[in-house]
Amino acid sequence: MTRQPADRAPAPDGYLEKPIVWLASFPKSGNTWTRILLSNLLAHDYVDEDNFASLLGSISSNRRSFDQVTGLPSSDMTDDEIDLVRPDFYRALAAECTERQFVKVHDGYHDSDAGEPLFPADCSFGAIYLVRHPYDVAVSYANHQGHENFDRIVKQMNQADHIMAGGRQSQLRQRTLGWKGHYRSWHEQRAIPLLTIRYEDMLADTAACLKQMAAFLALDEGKDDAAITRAVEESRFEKLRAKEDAHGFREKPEKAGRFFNSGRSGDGRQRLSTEQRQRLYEHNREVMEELGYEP
Amino acid sequence: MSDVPFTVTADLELGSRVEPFVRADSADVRICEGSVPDRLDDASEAGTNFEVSGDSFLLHVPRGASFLVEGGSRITYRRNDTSDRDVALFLLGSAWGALCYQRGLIPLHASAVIKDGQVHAFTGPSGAGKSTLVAALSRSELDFFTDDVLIIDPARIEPGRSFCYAGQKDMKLWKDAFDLTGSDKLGAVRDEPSFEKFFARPATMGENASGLLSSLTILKNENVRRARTPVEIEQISGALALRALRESVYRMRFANAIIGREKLFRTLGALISAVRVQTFDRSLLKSEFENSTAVMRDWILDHDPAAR
Repeated sequence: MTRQPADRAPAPDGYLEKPIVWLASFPKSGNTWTRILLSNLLAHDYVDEDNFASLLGSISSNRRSFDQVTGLPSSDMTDDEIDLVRPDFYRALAAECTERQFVKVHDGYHDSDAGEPLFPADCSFGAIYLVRHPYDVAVSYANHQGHENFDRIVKQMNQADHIMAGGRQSQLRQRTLGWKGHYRSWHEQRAIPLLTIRYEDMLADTAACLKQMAAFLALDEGKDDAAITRAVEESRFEKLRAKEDAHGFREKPEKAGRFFNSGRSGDGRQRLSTEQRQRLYEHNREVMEELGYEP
Repeated sequence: MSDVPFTVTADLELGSRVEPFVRADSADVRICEGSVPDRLDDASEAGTNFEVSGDSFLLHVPRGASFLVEGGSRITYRRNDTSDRDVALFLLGSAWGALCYQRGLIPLHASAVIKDGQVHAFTGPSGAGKSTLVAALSRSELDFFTDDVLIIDPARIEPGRSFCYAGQKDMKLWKDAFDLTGSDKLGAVRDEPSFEKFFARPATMGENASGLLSSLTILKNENVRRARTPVEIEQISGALALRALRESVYRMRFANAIIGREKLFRTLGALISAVRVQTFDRSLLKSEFENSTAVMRDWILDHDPAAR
């Protein structure tokens, strides 16, 4: 599903002037899978047992990179002070790169205290926005945090001030704005061209979604059906699970049993209680309906 | 031989962190409040908040102080309404690192303990647990040596041995690390009430501000994610060690701009020849902390530098 509001600027032709592609999502919505798909399409030769995703680019909350590029000690700064510098940090990254960068983002789209958007349009080619049914996100997010306290997860997803990392953590703070707020924030901004992909559509027809992404990114590889087929095949959940079982996965949180779980759609309906589902639905109803997600 | 690589005199209270460096007068470096430009002319290197031009280095802290470091002998700060505490914090961080480079020294992003004059240093990115590990080791037969910064003097690296200096004699720990390490909580690091990081005094303090660098350990947290033995100490050498050490350099871009890549890599190469470099892979779960800390403590106590 593609959403391109009429007043949004089309994706520009030259990407080196705006080299950053944001892969934006609330956590556990298919972001890593998308990185792996694009890696298998664009940088297949660099994918190996240790490196699932070979795309250039990191995560927006990369503390080490922030410290190097800014010259500032982020661990002695408040999260709000760090946010003041983040737009220039991304501009500096963009200015230094010679190839397109794919940067994972779990932050909602918001301004710093100085009133500047964290993600500057002047270095952004566009954003691919991944979204998944909130019931399934809840189950997967709980696994990611290493517990099954779905009440806690539902509360986090419904909280506009929900944050990830920051403070003593190895990643910078990310204000997700909650599940609904995350979606709204990226879709109400008009500065960065946006392609929205539903996780469920990726499951149903991975190749079609990957082609959509490639077209949005103006990638020639998207016209190569054999390359698309190979990328989809190499990124199948069963393969990723087997690879994780054999070699582990660098991005797996310590507390989580494994990173690649079922990957299915519909787990949330089975595992969340009626009350938990109700709380998610009541809080996120408008966005769920907009996306065609049934309660 | 001096216990510090240089001395400073300052017109503001720097706290006990760099006490061994401070003199009342006649010091190598003068730190004072004054005029600091917004930009440097002809900058050869610039990040978002710093610039390097010749022997000048400029740093702006967002909504905070600005610092001009010149010729390895002077740091001028513009306060911009921030407190002594905040000025000193950033002065003794990035500006201090630039000062070291201007003086031909290599600061490493490392915390360390000392035992019988032998320094065992731990490096890794912010959040890797350097300070917490060193604080915990400092209550078990080892003495605290430095936090966050370890200074190497290229002129004092010899075949098989390297001298090193403590960069900071106080620790900075996040609130939840005090229970883990048994350290004494001192004042807050920042004047921001919500910023829960504090200066700390570890259980045992080494008196020395210099020593022989015996081992340099890079902290990792990968095995547990890859179904391998969770706690592992592995010696590394050659290109692998050089790459790991490069990551440990305090503000690599400052180093490249101020002392140049060639001298930096020559020094790191010499350091690898002189010091055991190893990785320490361990879980970061609190429940595993005591166990993994004991593994490292035992390694240090068992380690015989002469056997290298």
